[in-house]
Amino acid sequence: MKLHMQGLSKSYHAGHPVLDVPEGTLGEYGLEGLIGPNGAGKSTMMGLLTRRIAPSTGSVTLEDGKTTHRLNPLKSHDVARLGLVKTNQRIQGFESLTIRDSLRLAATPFGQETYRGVLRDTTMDAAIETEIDAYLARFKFDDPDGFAKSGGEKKLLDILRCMILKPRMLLMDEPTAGLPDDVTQEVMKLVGEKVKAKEMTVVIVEHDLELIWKHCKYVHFLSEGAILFHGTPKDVKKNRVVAEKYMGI
Amino acid sequence: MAYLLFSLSLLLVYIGLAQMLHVQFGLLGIPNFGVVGFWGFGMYFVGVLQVQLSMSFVDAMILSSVILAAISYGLGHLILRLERQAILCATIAFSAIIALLVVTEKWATMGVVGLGTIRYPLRVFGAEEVLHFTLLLVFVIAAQLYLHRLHGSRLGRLMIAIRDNEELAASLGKDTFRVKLHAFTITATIMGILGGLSAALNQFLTPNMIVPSITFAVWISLVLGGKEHALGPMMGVFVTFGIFDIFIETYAPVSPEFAVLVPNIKLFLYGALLVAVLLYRPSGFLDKDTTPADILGGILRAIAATLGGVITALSVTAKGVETLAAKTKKDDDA
Repeated sequence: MKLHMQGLSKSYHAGHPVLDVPEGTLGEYGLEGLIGPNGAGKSTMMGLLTRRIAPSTGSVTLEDGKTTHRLNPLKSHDVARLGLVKTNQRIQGFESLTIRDSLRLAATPFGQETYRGVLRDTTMDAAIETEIDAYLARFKFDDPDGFAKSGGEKKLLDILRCMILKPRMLLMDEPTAGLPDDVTQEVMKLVGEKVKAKEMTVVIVEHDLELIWKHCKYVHFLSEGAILFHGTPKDVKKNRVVAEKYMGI
Repeated sequence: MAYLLFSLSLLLVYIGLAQMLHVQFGLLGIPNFGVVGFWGFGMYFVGVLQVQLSMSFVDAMILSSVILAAISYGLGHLILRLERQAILCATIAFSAIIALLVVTEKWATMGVVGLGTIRYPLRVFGAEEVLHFTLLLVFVIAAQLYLHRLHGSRLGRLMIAIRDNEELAASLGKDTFRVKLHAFTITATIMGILGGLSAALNQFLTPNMIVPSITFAVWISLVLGGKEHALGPMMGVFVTFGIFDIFIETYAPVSPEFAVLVPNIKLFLYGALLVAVLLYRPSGFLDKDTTPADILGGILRAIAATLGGVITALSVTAKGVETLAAKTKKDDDA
């Protein structure tokens, strides 16, 4: 799955765009990175791509092999149903749902929460339970039947909720922030497997550059609301603009 | 006996309203402060159709429900995307409009003169009240059973997720607005059906029945009972309306000179109880994890405490009487 941005911009005050991308494509290379200093517009871009934020101008299209979807008229949940999903930078969660219930919620196919279903017993679905068990065996929580306790658990749960949706394209907004190192490694391993199996394409927004260089095939550099450079990690590392604006060399 | 039956029927109506508010606010987080508007709409609409147009109860109920469902759907479309404060204001405004229309549209509602008489739907001579009570009882029990299932269902889980974090639920592909709109329409319409059932119960309708205090009574019940527990609405109505309005106001042995004070004391105790619960148990008597065993234990403890109190009071009184008697005897002897 690929995302095209065309004349995409967002400004909260006229004449001061937070993001201004005349043209850009994400998701051509399987696993891509999006880097840039604080305030560059990375999270704004993620929000625009998933229709959480409405753009001031421009359009986003999602290319899915044969069909092309215009995302502009869609709502946030429609975008997720097309297979484009984003993990959250800041900790988000359902405080009244246990870890297992939260995963069940995400795994339940769209539109199967019906009033008639209330009368039948549909909460437990063998296939869904097996899948959840597999995830919970791989990623350890203190008490999977209880609530996510630490920030790290909540962040991990956020990522697993997205994975269990089986997205075709996953945007990860600072996945390592708040995650213990070993969990980050395991998450990246899982992501790597899914990308390799061509189940999904992934774009990672991250400040941890080591992680970007290690895992990403292609990197976009965003600064002051514009994509200033993109290329392979090797090219980006060598690029003077990136060095000056971001790495402070 | 007839009065008790009326009170108990009213109690069931309140439970029904609190059950619906439980879905709206307890599960979905929609603060509907216009409960009396939906209930009053149903009550007056069914009443007017029966009295002015001589419609049968069933026809009047169906027509009223269809119209109220359409109104609720439209209202929901307008307000359910807004902030909670805005929803609160809009629903209050809705109930105010209904209350006003009931007074001004005299051609239909007879205004302040009052509208009557509305007959019971089940007309078996001598058993009408009992049958109506049974009808309400069946209605409330059915709703309660559905609520229990809802709590353990996919839909219930989604509703809770929407209450907790709507944006996150939407990002997982859930059509949150649709869920809210449908649930609001259905529950608001059922509030109207409860209103329609109340029309026959009251028999004679006057505008002063459509007052905000009904909304507040339902809200207080829900908050006291526990807004997130399936049994919360029922528990809350038993404690507020059941104990105060029915038991104390009607049956407590109060001597006539203090009888005038009872309603005021009731309001005072209502308030004190609400403050105490909000301070020490903000989630209500039943929080979302309370099990049936906890409830049973709680009731038994409450009974034990009451019995203990009564026994202590009695023994203290007896001792006092004994001492007094002994003293009197001593005085007499002296």
